[in-house]
Amino acid sequence: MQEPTFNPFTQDELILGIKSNEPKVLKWLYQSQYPKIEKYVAANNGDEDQAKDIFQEAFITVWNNVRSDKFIPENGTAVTGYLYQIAKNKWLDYLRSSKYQKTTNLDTKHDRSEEEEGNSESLQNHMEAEFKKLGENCREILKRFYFQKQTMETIAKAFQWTEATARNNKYRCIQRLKEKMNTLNN
Amino acid sequence: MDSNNLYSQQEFERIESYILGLMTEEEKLSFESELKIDQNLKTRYEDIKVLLQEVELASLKDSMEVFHAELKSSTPVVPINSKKPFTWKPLAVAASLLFLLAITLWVFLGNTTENEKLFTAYYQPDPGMVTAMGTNSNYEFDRGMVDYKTGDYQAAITRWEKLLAQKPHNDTLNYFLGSALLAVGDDKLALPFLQKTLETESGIFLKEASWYLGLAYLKSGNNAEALKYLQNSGREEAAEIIEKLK
Repeated sequence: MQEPTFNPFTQDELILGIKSNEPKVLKWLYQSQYPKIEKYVAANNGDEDQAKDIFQEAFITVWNNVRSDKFIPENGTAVTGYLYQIAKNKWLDYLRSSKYQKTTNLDTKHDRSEEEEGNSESLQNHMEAEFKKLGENCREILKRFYFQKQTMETIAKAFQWTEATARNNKYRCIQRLKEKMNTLNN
Repeated sequence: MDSNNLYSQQEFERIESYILGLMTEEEKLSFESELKIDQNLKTRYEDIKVLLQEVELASLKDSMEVFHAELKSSTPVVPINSKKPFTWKPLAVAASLLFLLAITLWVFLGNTTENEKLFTAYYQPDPGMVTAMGTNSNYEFDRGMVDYKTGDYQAAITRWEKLLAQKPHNDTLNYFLGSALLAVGDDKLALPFLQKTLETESGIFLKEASWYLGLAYLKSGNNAEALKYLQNSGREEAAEIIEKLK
C-alpha cells in the first residue's frame, strides 16, 4: 500500500509528525526521499556514503526548521520538496568548496547561515559520541522519553520496571551525559 | 561556579518538567518567578535545556541510522553511474525468489475456497482518510489514522479500541476500526463494527461499509448475507462478484 512516491500524509500530518518525532512519519520521510538524493549525488560525482551524509545533514536542518516554525508549508509537496532542495544545495556547496578541490573526503559540515542554527558543531559531535557510548538501556530510555515523548509509565512497562526505578534510571543516565558535557565545557 | 554540577533528582525533574511543558499553570508561574531572581537556577535551567536538545538530536541521528539500514537491506539501490561487470547472481536470486513466490501462491490459493479466492481478488483495504492533525479532540483518532495509512493496522486498532469506549456511536470510528480489523484478516471481528456504521444517520460510509461487509461475509462463506450487502454497495465490482456467486 505504501509506495515511495505516494505521500500518505498531508502537510499538516508531516509537520506535526516532525514536531512530535512520530517514528512512522520520520521513517516515511527518510525512506521515501533518500533514494532521490542518492540518485542526484551519484549523477553529480558523488558516492553513496556522501549521499547519506548530505541527506542526513539536510534531514536535521529540515527537522530543526520545522520545529522552530522557520519553515511553514505552502503546497502539497512542500516538506519533501524543501528537504530535496536543501540536500541538493548542500551537495552543490560541497562541490564548490575548496575541500572538494583538494580531497574527496567529506568530513566537514557546510554552514548555510540562512538554513542552520549556529549551534556549536563540536559540542554536537561530542555529545553524539558520548550518547553512543552509553549502555543500550540508557540510550533506549533517553530516546523513548526525550525523543519519542513516551510517558514514564509506558517506559517502565517496556523495561518491566516500576515507575520509580524508571525515573531513577533516567536521572542516572542523563547525569552521565551531563558530567561529560561539563568536562567538555571546562 | 560548580553549582551546575550538583543537583538532586528532584531538582532535575522539576527543571525538566518546565522545559518539556509538563507543569501545571501554577507550577509554571512559580518556577518562572524563581527563575528571574535565582541565578543558579537559571544556569542549571539553561544547562539542562542544551543537554536535552543534544539528547534529542542524538536520538534523531540514531533513528536515521536505523531507517537507513532498513532501506538498504530491503531495496538495494543500484547507483546510476555504476559500471560493474554483469553478473548472473542477482538474476539467479530473483529467479529463485519468483519460484518460491509461485509455490507459495499455489499452495495458498490451491487450498482456499472459491469464496476466499474471490475475496482476495477483490479486497483492497480502504486507503484511509485525510486528517488535519492538531485539533485536540480528534488527536487520538488522527494518530491512529497515521498508523492505519502506514499499514500498521494493529497499532491503529489498539488506539481506536480505546477511543471507542468514549465514542461508541461514532460512524467514522466504527467504520475504520472495522476496516483495520478486516485488513489484518479478522473478518469476523470486523463485522459488528461495519454493521454499526450502517446504523448511523449521517451515512457518509454507507456504501463503503456495505462493500466491506459484503466482502467480509463472502470470506466467511455466508453467501446470502454477502449478496445482500454487495447489492447495496453500489460498486461496479460488486456486480461481477454477484454474477460469479450465482
